[in-house]
Amino acid sequence: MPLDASILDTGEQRCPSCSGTFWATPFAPPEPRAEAVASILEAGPEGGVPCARHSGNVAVASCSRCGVFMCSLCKIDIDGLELCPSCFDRLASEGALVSTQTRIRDYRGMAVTLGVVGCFMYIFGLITGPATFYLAWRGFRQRRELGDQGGVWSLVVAVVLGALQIAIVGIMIFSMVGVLSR
Amino acid sequence: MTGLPPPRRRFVGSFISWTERMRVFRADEALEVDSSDRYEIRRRRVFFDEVLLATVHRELGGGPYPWSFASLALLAALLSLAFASEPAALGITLGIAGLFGVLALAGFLLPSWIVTVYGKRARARIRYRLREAKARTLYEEVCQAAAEAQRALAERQSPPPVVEVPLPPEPPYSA
Repeated sequence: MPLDASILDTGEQRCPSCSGTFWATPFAPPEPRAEAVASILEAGPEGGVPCARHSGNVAVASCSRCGVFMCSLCKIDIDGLELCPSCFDRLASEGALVSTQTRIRDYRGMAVTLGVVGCFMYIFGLITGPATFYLAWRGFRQRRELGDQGGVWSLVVAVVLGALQIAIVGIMIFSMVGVLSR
Repeated sequence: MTGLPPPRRRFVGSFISWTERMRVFRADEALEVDSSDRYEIRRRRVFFDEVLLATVHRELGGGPYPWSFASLALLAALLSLAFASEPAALGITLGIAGLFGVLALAGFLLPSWIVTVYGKRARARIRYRLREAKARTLYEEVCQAAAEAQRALAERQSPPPVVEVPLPPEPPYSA
């Protein structure tokens, strides 16, 4: 049963179901409130320029990408930019806005998985080893692009496992050549 | 546009359960929860101005690791039955079983501290094994950030104070 935050106090509490102790801090976030949009009629002809989409509203900013005038209804503040809805849609669909990305390819996870699985399928080490290297390299790049801290060790482990796969195949080939040459 | 530096975020911890694997990052205005199935990362955000509840609690033997170690210990113990007639191999397998057994026991007995942050749309959980101080530091940090963000939001949304503007004096009417 989920805890009801409204009945909780701040500080040490006792769970009603398991009697365990826990510490809680409930919050009451303010509900979002509709903001009034300045009308061009109220502002007067010299009071402001109209929004490109809503001709009755006063523009409060211009788009960081295309420069179009926007009212506070159209203005989207994201990643330090002020964008109009069209530019936001375009950049979000291109994946250029980091804050809108909710599904990202997990190169780090793929590198580690292929590193481990490749060690069991070492016969294919000449394929899985370089593939592990490639995925680990993409993982390092992705980590830098996303501004992540941490997660280096798993990539290093993936690189080591990739090298191990290649080394196993190398030893196998070397021994086979040795046996055949005898 | 694409050359802009991404918002900085800091890895604060992870939560690994039987069903999900989450890595939690602290960004400027939210906790970002990356849950991964080893192929794709699904990102959710718990915004500080939407936090409803933050808790920290203690748990014994949580997560899949103790059970995994226990399974490996059992497997090694069963394997040792096959080497009953060879003392050297029996010793090695029993040693491995003992090692995994100790690790499983430690996993079951040692406490972990779990910080949970409930937002309106998402939830973040972070498990700290044996690191109570770190869990409490993060808990206080999240509580402080949530309180500040919600106070700032309330101030932004509060209507501006009504200022009484004095009317100009009545013009002197001449009869």
